Amino acid sequence: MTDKDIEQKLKAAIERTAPDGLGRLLSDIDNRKGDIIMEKTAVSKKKNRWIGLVAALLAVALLGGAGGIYYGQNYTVATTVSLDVNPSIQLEVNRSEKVLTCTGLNDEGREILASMNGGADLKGSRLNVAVNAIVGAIVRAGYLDSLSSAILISVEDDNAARGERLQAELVAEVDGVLQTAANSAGVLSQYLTVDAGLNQQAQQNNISSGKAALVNQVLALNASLDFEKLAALSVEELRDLIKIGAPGMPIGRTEAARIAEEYAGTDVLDIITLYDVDPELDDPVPHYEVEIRLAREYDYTIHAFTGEVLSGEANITGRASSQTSPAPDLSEPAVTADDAFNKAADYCNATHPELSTYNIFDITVKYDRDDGHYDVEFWCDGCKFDYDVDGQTGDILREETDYRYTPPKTPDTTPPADTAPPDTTPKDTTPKDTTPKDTTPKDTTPVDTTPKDTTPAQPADIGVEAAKAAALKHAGITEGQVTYWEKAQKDYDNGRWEYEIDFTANGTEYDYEIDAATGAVLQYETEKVRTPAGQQGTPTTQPADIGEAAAKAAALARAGVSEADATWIKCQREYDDGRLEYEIEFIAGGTEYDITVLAADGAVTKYETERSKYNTGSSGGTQTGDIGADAAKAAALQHAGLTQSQVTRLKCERDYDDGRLVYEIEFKSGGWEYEYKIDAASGSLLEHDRDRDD
Amino acid sequence: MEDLVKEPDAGAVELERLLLNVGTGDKDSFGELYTRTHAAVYALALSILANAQDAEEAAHDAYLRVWDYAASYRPKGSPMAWLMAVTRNLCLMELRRKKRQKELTEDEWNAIPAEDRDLGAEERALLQWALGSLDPASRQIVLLHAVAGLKHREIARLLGLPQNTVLSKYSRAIAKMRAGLEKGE
Repeated sequence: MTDKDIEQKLKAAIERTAPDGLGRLLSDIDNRKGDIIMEKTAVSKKKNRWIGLVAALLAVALLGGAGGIYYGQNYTVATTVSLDVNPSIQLEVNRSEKVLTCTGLNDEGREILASMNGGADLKGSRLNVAVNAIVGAIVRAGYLDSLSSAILISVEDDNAARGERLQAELVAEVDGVLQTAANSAGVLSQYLTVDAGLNQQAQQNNISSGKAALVNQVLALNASLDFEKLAALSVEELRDLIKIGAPGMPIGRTEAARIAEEYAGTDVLDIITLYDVDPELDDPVPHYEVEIRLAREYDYTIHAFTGEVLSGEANITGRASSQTSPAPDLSEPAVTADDAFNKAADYCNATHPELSTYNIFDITVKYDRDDGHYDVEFWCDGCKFDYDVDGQTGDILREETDYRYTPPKTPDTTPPADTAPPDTTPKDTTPKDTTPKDTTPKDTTPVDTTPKDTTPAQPADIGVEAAKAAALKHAGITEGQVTYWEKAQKDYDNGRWEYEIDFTANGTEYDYEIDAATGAVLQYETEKVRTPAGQQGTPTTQPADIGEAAAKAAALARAGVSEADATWIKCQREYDDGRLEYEIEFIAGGTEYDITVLAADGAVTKYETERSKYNTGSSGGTQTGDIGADAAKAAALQHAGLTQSQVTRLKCERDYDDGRLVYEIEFKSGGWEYEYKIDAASGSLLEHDRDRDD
Repeated sequence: MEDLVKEPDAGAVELERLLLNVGTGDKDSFGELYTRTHAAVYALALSILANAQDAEEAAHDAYLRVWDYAASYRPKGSPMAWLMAVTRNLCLMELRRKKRQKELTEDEWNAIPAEDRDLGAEERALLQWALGSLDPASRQIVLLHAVAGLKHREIARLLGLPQNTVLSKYSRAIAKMRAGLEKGE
């Protein structure tokens, strides 16, 4: 048997076994008619990154196609499913898992359903399809933008087997939508039996019974808190409160926004300047991040429990009005560098479905002040993309694509001379900037490196030592603890004099921007570093570079992952601490790896793993902070007031739940069946249940 | 290095024409494109998802995408490579989604559809255990070459592997399958 024989036999076998689905395809296409293009255009204009096209298409299929069909054999509610972010939406379904009712429980929920005829369009559709459409709409509305945001899926059903199955299926469905949208929001889920008391609490507060159950979990940790106030919080806030042991009542996003606006002085303006409020209650210093936009972006951090303004610039209205002329000021873009990149990536995703936007790397974003647009460049699947993005509107002005292989006009018989991937030999191998920090603007406004010929006369100046002291005070660090002062430099940036204070202490790198006039903390970032001793130094003018491919290989070797198993997220070459490094991120086996490799010799200087939010596989259990099975069992037994000899059928499983490593423990004793869920990191009790052992 | 099998040039040109017509909403061209390529699309989906039913669904979704996006296709000389890239991306998405479901931790190769499609013994053996004995990457390479007719360098581009790796994996895979089949005869 020759190779050719085998190939032909294989081809024949596949052709025989490949199902003919053309009829079904044509029927599906007929049902969708021409609505798709409209959706695609709309998608590229949304704020979020890589909107879930699948979700959008499904929604169209649902609304434009079979939306009117109603399978009305069974009107009895078998299961109630609720989806809570801040919009709360409740679905009642029958035994055939067809939607009977779909209701927005609060204003945000009703707003989400407005485009679906208030939920009526979803009647008769399958539960998973309806959930997909709703979550797609929630994502498009921008509710799940931030990394820390969360959605809660609750399934209420007296049939435990069905309820738990639906719970698992819906989690997978929602994960799918979020993943398609390249959205990293957390998915929480719970199964509940029907509870009249809980339903009553829920109804009284216009929330779902699922969210009411979450509120009760918070109350179990701190009974002094108020149900009604907790009910007004988002799922993300409630989740984080549980995570930190519910030490008190957070001020809430509305109050945080009010405080920030008042501090900024924008509360008296007639225009809307509030852009975003993001709760970070599980941060070491629990806070809300408030983003205000007035000519440019201003960030504020507000303490989550005290309402104290931790950082941000006061009274920006005077500054903004004196700085901005009536004509649009092209020197200050309204669109952030990140958003400009997202716009370009959205566009790329929508126009090149054959490319996997998971593979985007080598991103550079530069703002051209003369033209008022961003120049966004990146590589994706062997193609180089170059976009001009309008700095004021975010519109794509120009697209240029450099394909690795040029389209031949005539049939191609000879392989191209250049078969090596161009990304391994980037043309620009020497860094343009040898300053220690990266050259791409990470934050809200690109750093202005042009000569400061228009700087105003210097106002009051607290001096560099006072600026350092302000940064240290904010960080809660004494000068003695600082192991490395990287930078203490005065600069004129964003229309004001400020000190850039960067230092390392206790294994953490702190980057501060301090207002030179007032000493206020304008912005700060922290990053954990693990730097081998003696590595700190100044950049050489022509650093050695092993290249991207070798850096990726070093990262894979450190992680013990084969290339075939890795899904690349990022491979970025940049300077940090004066060294040329590759920052590499990838996902493999349900774990997200964040690895930094020295460009000079391939040494790994940072290695972090985290359970991927895209994946809940069983692997990836090598994280730190694991108390171990024995300690987890002991904690459960202690809570039950039992010793190991008093229990039977003791089972202990390590698993991931809602993004954290947990131990699920079951045992029987004295006619009771106990179930516990213990946090593997802290040993704290997350859930427990005791039922009669039948 | 020479490719073992040449993609028929005329075939590529015809596929390109069909794809461009599909971009204008021509359903007849879509049907013709489907007829010419669906075995290849299905084969690639099967090689990644390792399950006949999942592969059928993925192929369905891939063609929906083709219908939606054919207008944005830019002629690059290999419409089959484009089709394979669209299919592969969808399958990888699906695979990541599947991996989240705990019950699907094992890569269980299940190439034969639930309802018997009248396969001969040898075909059954080829699909089920000869292909099943290969690692996923080799399976993809074999099917992309034998069924989709992609050249080795096109496979190398698609999978992000060096061309030599593709060639050596292909040779080893075919040898392994032949040995298995001859032993079974």
